[in-house]
Order: sequence, then C-alpha cells, then structure tokens
Amino acid sequence: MKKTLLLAYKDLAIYFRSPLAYVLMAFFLLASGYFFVVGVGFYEMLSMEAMRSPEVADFTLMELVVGPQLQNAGIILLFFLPLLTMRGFSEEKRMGTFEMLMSYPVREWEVAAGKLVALLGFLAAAIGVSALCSAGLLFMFSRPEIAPMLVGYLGLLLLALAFCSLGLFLSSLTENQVVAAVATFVALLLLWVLSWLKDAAPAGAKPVLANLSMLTHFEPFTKGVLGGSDVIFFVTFIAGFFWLTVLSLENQRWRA
Amino acid sequence: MLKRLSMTVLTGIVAVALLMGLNVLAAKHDWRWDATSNKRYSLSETTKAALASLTGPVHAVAFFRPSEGSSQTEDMLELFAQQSKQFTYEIVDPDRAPFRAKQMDVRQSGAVVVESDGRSDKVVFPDEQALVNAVVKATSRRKSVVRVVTGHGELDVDAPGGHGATTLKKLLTDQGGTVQPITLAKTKTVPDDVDLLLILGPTDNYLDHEIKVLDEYVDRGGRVLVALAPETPTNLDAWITKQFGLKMPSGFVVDTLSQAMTGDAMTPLAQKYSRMPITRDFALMTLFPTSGALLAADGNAATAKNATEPQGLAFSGEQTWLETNIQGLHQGTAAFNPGEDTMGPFWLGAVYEGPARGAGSANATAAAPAAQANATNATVSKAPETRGVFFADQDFLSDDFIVIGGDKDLARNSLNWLLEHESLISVNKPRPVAAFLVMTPLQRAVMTYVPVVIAPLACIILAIVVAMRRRRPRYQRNPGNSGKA
Repeated sequence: MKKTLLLAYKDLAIYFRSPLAYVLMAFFLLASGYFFVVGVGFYEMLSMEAMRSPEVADFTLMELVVGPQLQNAGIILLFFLPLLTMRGFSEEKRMGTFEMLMSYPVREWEVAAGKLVALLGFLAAAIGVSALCSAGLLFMFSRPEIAPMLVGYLGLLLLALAFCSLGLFLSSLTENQVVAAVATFVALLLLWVLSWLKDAAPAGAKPVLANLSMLTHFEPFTKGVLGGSDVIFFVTFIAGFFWLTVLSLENQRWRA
Repeated sequence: MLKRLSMTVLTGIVAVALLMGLNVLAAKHDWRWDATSNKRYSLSETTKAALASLTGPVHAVAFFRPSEGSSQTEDMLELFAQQSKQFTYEIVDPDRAPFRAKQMDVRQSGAVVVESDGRSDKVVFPDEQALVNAVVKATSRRKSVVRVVTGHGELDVDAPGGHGATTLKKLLTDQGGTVQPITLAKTKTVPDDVDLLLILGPTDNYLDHEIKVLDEYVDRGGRVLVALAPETPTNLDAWITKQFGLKMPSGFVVDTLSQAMTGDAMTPLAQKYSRMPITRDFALMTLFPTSGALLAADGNAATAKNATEPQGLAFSGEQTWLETNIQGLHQGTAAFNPGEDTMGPFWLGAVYEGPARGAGSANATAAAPAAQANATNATVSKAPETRGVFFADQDFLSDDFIVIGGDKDLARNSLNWLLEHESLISVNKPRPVAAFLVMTPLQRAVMTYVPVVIAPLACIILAIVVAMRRRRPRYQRNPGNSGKA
C-alpha cells in the first residue's frame, strides 16, 4: 500500500508540475461552469414566475441546475480524460521509463493502483473545485438540498474513475499516446451511448444493452438517487479494467 | 508457458463470472436510496400500498416514439415493476406497431394502457397518480357506487368553485367509483348497491321521510360521510346524535395558533389525530375553515375498546375554544369568556364503527356491498357493519380549500376507509420545499463570473506559472541543490 501511495504521489507530482493538468482543469471548469450558469439563469426566471403561487412550485435546484450540469460534466470528462490517461503507460514506454519502473521491487497491481490513485487525486481536485465554484455558490443565495448533491458528485467521481480505469488499460497496451487516447475516447463513447441502441435492438437484448450503458447507470446519481446496482456497476467496471491492466503489465514483464 | 496461459485464462473466466454475477445480483435485489427530501423519485405510500395489494397480473403498455423520450414514464413503470412482481410493462413504438395502437385505441404517443384480466384503462398523461389510478381501475372487480344527497343546499360535486366539490368527486372517480346524486325525498329506500352516502353540508332541514330513509340505510349497515355546516344548524344535527351518539354544540372553534400561522383564527388547525386506519402515520396539518366542534353526546370520549361509540378523528389544539358569541365574531371582538365558552381541544372530525343494528335481517345482509365485493384488497366483512365519518365543517371539502395542507389526504383516506379500500389509505408525498433563486445584480455577477471566468482563469495562471518554472534551469529552481549537481 505504501508503495502504491508513493507511486501515486510521484504521478500526481508529475501532473501538477506540468501545465497540462492546469490547462485541462481550466477547460473542464469553463465548460461545466458554462452549463451551470445557463441552468441558473433558467432557474432564476422560473423562480420569479413561481413566486406568485409558491404552493404549486414543484421544481428543485438539483433537478434543473445541478443534475443537468453533472450530466454535461460527464460528457466533458469523456473528451478530456483520454488526454490524461494516455500518459499513464504510453508516455512511460515512449520515454523509456517503463522498463525502469517495472524493474523496481514493486508488484504489477501496485503500479496500476498507483496510476489509478494519482488520477483519482487529480479528479477529486477538479471535481471538488468545480463543485465549490458552482453548486457551492448556490448555498450562498438559496436553500438547495445537500444530500442529493453529494450523491450526484459521488456519481460523477465514480464515472470519471471508470473512464480512467478503461483509459489506463488501453494505455498499457500501446506506446503510442495518440492511439491510446483515440481508442479510449471511442470505447467510452460507445459505452456511453449504448442505451440509445436499445430501441432498435431485439426485445431480449434491450435490458442487456441498457445495463451496459454508463449513461443508464449515471443518470440516477444526477437525480440524487443512490442505486445499489449503479454503484456495483461502476465498482465492478473499475475493478474489471484494473484487473485487465494488471494482467497486461504482468504479461509485459513476463515477456521482457 | 502453457501453464501460465491456462492459469491466466482460468483466472479471467472466474473474474468475469464474479463481476457479472455481482451485477446480476445487484440488479435483482436493487437497493436504492432517494436522497431528495420529499422522495421525489420514489413511489408514494399510496402507490406502494395499491401495488402491494395486487393479487393478479397487471400489464402496462406504454406507447412512445423513440424520438419523444419515454425516460420519465419508463422510470416510473420500472419502479412499479420493482414494487410488485404482478406488475409488468413494455414500451411500444406506435409507428412500428400501428395495429396494436389501434387495437388499444391509442391515437397519440405518450399514452399508457394498463390491462388486467381482460379489463383495461388508458392514461393519456401518465404520472404516478394517474398510473396508480389506472391500476386500481383495471383491477377493480366492482365499481364503488357513491351517492351524494342533494336538495338541502349541500355542496355540488359537479360545480367547480367555492360551493363545489368536484375534487372530492374526482378522488372517487379516479379510483373507479361512480358518483351520482340521490334525492331522498323521491325514494323509499337507498338502493342496495350503494356503497357510500355523502352528505356535504346541508343548510336546510331534512323531511321526516328522508330521515327515515337514512335511518333504514344506516341500520342495515350503510356507510355515510357527513360534513355539517356549523353556520346553519339543521335537524341532521339531531339525527347524528340519535344514530351515532355525536352532537355539535352551537358556536365556532377559534384557534389563536391558526391566527398566527394562517392569519385567520376562524380556521382551526388539526395536527393531532387518533391512531386508527384513516389517520395512522398521518403527519400533515389539516385546516377547517369556520368549523364547529363535535362531542360525544353522553359527554364521554369513547375509547378504542368501545368501538360502537363515536371516536375523535382529528383534534383541534389545546389553545382553541368554542366561541358562542357569534355577534362578537362578526365584529372581530370575540375573546374567551370562562363562564360562556368552552376550552378545547375538540373533535373536528369523528368516526363511528359498529355492527348494523338490523344485522340478521334480509335487508342487512344485502347492505354494505363494498364489504362483500371489495375491489382492491379482497377483504370481506363477515357481518354488516355501519361506518360513519363526521366533520364539523363542510368548507374543507370544497374545491377552494381541499387542496390546502393535508385536507385532500384526510378526505381520501376517510372515503377509502368507508369503502373498505384500506390498502389505499396512506399519505401522499409532500411537495418539495420551494428553494427559489432570485439574485441581486451583484449576486448574479458572482454566480456568473466565479464558475466561468475566475476559476478557469486561476487555473490558466497556475499553468503559466508552472510552465515558466519549468523553463528555468534546474539550479535556479532549487538553488540549494546547485552545488550537488
């Protein structure tokens, strides 16, 4: 565990000592902030209308502002995260530091876990800053419910971590960063939109397609609903690709 | 090498099976926590109760074009299906299955048809309430027959507005009941198929013949909901004393707490209820505009053990009193006078439940059809039983007031108890607390510039600083290490 944390610290230091992490974070904040401001404008207009008859007001900040912002943030991460995960192993291979890393007295899972924990650290920082600068501001001027928001941000973190675990696995297969990034993006996009195909699919395949889609499992979080099957989906998805990454590293060490 | 490969493959198979098994298990026993304060994305207790009482299969067909989005309805139907194994559903594209849409008389996308045992009900604008009503209608073996007594200035269930009770009627028709007027003066007896008689705030006296018809109906196990109008006492007050042991003394309940909360001392609040099926777990506040007070005629409050005596249902607060100085009320000078007025709490609503006095007779066995052929919970009473719910106010059932607080829930639960639809007695979800967002120009600027300008700009500045640091030679960045290099 100590080795994992050391490796994670090393990777995290690399992220934050290069401008790329800050640039990515800036664009993520800008894009998700834009959707937040659009939602706030709409909600304020609706509030002014509803204040005339508050007893019929049946909408919440989570439903109209934070939920849509989280869904858009998920799509934004889908574009940005392959740029981070491609560096995971592909860059190490390209720079020739991968062999050195594998020659250390560390096990494969510790290496993979170190990379994943480092990405978790970066994501926690990005999502945390985004939450403070958007949803956090709502507490200054209104009375939003905190519990659904926490559930929503937990969902976003799980979704982002699932993206990273797939990206790291694909990064471990190639030393070409562009190939790793494009493959990750395409795979994530397919997994995201899988539920759209269910209408055209045969009846038997519909539930399978819906259950494989990340969108299906992420949506309840954005409403403030914590579902056991959704949490299990993301946890098993992360665990599955983490395990594949470990297998890939084992295979490469063994071949070397 | 072969050994290693086979080990890897075997581990892979076990791992994939384990992960898939976990997902299947989680999907089957789906645990979910709705973090919203009013359980916005969960089913209400009414719906859960209705679905739990299903005894046969119910199938819903939702007609949606893929482009029009069915997610909300589909989520709702999925929750229904999770609640009861008897409930199944499917989403059908009306363009791909036009014959089926025509067969089910569906002409527009978005409609849901609920079917059960050859019966069906169509919902054009599906929401939770409409869907559960459709389920109740489709599964009802027999429609409840409700008659509304007319001819004495009672509330009109067909006229919307302050003297109308169309919402009350809709509560009954939504659950598959039929509501029709009845003129007691023109009839010798209340028809045998009548499940419930509504008497909603009469302002004129009943004829002796009408009182006899009511007596005969109640004696054979009839069910009545009586809302008295304290503004205009009638001989019905004496009838409920004779039949049910209840009396309504003259005067109005004055509530100082209500004055502070609603601005009207003449609208007493009820926040305390008896622990009986109508109000079990009932935590909503109900309001009774210009209400009188009900008392047990013998002066003793009945206990639950003595069920043939009336019992309190909804209670006014201890700060209330029964004001008898009507002139003072009109002038706004009324105050509690220890010698003249009575201090609360009072019964604002009361219930009566007991065996039919004519039990055993031919008429008695034909009465209370609701008990014999209950639509939803299949509960069958062994002997005819008289049930009555009484309120010392009729205004709270009118269209103007029934939507306030928990008035509608109390009315619905009372009707369902009288009709022996106990499985439908519950409390609906409260609305979310309105969290409005109206900002000053400065607040709006903060809300706009912090997420879109300040936070991203701070990150860009940090990126520039880091980039500049990286451009400097290493010994300049860490002067302490320059000698070691």
